[in-house]
Amino acid sequence: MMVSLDEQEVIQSAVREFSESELKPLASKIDSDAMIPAELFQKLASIGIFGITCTQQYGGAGTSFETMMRVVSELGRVSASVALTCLNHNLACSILNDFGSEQQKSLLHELASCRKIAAVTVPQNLSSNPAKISYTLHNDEYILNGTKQYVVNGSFADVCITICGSNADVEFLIVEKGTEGFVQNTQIGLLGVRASGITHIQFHNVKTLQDRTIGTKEDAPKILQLLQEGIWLGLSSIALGIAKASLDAAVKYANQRVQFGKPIAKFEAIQEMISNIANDIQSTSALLDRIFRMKDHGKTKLNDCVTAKIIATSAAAKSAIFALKIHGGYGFIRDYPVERFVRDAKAIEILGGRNSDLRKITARKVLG
Amino acid sequence: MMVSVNFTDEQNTLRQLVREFLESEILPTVEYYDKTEQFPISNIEKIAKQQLMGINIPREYGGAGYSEIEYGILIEEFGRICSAHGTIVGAHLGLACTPIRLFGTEDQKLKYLPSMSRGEKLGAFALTEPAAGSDAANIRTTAEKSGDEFILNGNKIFCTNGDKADVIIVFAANNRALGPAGGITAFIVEKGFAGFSIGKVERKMGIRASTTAELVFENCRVPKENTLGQLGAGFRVALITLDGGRIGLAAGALGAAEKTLETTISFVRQEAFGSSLAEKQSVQWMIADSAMEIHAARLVVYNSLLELDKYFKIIAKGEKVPKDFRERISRNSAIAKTYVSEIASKIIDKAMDIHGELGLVEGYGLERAYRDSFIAEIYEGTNEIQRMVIARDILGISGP
Repeated sequence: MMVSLDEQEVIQSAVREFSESELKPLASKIDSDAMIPAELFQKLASIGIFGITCTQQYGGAGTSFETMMRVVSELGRVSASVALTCLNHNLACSILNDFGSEQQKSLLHELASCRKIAAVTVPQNLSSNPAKISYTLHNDEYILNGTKQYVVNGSFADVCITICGSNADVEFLIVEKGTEGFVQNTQIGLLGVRASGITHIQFHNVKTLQDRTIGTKEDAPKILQLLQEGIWLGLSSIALGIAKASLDAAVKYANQRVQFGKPIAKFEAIQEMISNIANDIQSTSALLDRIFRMKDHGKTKLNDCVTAKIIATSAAAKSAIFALKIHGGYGFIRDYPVERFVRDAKAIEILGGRNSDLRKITARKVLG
Repeated sequence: MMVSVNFTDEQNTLRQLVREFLESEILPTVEYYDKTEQFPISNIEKIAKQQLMGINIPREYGGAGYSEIEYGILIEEFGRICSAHGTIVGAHLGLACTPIRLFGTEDQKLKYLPSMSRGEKLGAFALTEPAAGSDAANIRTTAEKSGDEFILNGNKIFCTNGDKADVIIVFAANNRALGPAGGITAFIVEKGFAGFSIGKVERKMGIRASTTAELVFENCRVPKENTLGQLGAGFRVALITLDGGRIGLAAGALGAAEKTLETTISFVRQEAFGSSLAEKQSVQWMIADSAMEIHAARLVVYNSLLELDKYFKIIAKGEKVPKDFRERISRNSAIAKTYVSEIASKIIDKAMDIHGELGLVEGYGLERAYRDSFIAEIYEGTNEIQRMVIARDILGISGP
């Protein structure tokens, strides 16, 4: 089901309102405690943005991919941790919703209501660590072995969609919390996106029945594509949110702060930084809009998503640093949100694969 | 003036000893102090035992009697292991001991420098105020003469070591109408003086083991013999002190950059998944760029320190400094601080990219270096202000 443009705007503005009133007051604490409080998950569930792309019969809103991305971007404007957790959960939901068997889809009821949180591990080219989970098929059981590093939602996920094998020969398996040999380590302390449950998960002879495989062999490349596009565009959307938040903070401070007898916004050097942030936001938004439009027509190319990831995440990292510099000493103080924007933006830039590695994908495409 | 930096054997030995001491005694604790945001008092005691808290203070005042070069070596070595510790020692030596050494009376030097050299008393420097950050001349803290005392009123913010310091160099307006030219005076304030108290202690993005505090002066009574330098000459005291401070700060950033490059080199040499990152051209370029920048930065830092040493010696003797020398020191100090802090940030940022997710992990060291890196571009005058100073000096124009 496609949601109309109007509906998309309604959802986006509802999420913005929620983010401003409910999420913003908690954002700093979520970062310093490195934890998303359970009550917040309930609130996020009640406005329906976890599992938003699931069809309505499973408790979702059946929204488009683009709407989900806009929701993630709005959350990212306030809390990158919550946005990243939401993105990963929703991508897992989308995979189950679009490719799962009827029996597997029964999980969606709990995922769309946030009673359970999902994680999905990333394909090999979306991490600086290309380790893979190996699988062997024994009768009708899969046996999984290996470690997947830096899995978003990994420490607290109830359901983990696990990519096994290499990208050329890939299987997607549902592994649930508590399965024997499935180890979810505690969250790793990180520079940014500190509350997204990022951790290493281990598989020691994890046995899972064949009916836990999502989709057919023919579906596998499609799931892989959904995941790659979803993560790259999702990180881009969060990055856009951080850049917008950085602009808001920079503008507010530059207009308020008086030095040498005038607001610092009057100084050309400050204007130049603010202009750089604003220009980056404009170009990133335009790029993402274009990709979403193409996606609606089924014409997205993976290469475009790579471009978006590089452009958007570098823009966010730069924008947040400009905002910090405009704040001077106050930018370094944790009472102000800009230092968190800088940390979150850097983490978002690094997740999803090194930009230097991703540039190779662009180069290959351009060079033919 | 062309100067060349060739470290003497003694200086190389000192660097080696300092490095061994810091790596064995201090480095194992720095992540703990960063995480808990505690002031590393026992580390400061250990550093003091090595006679490093008075490294560039003359022997007659209880120091080790080394030059600014050795001070730079010390701060650079601190930069390699922990910028927060470097900040504590840098503020103590570069911003508190130095102005007493340069502008203090014989009595003041004898009273304060020996215990500061031994690290028994910690120093701080209080210039910044809520309304006087980049616009440092706009200070509102007042000093009113009352008999044999000055009465200080006002608030200072972002004071490194502020809540832990025993001796604080405080700048106050004795005559606001005169402004920086004759209206600001420096005072030596002891933490026990009546009317002095600690306000808010900040929680920061980085250099978390160092403390940054607000200082409150409510009818704080300072004996007139604690005036540092001439009445009304305080702004000059501040500017000259900061000219030195910035070069020390650049030395710290240099150390952080070098250490990060070394960490990155060993990381990319590791074999993983059948190849090493060192084979990648994008990685090689980063290594090459960083090496070039560090090479240039080292020349900038030690060249500036050599000049600074001459400059400070002239001032300490009470002799007049030629105008062009003073201006060159200010400009080169701004250049050193801005250039080195920025290449350090860039090198640390690129090292994060090369490391991938590992660079984000607490405890590995890079994550802390990244959080710490931003402050060098901000404190002791933001890099935006430094660019203003450099350009104004070159173009011969005044005003912001």
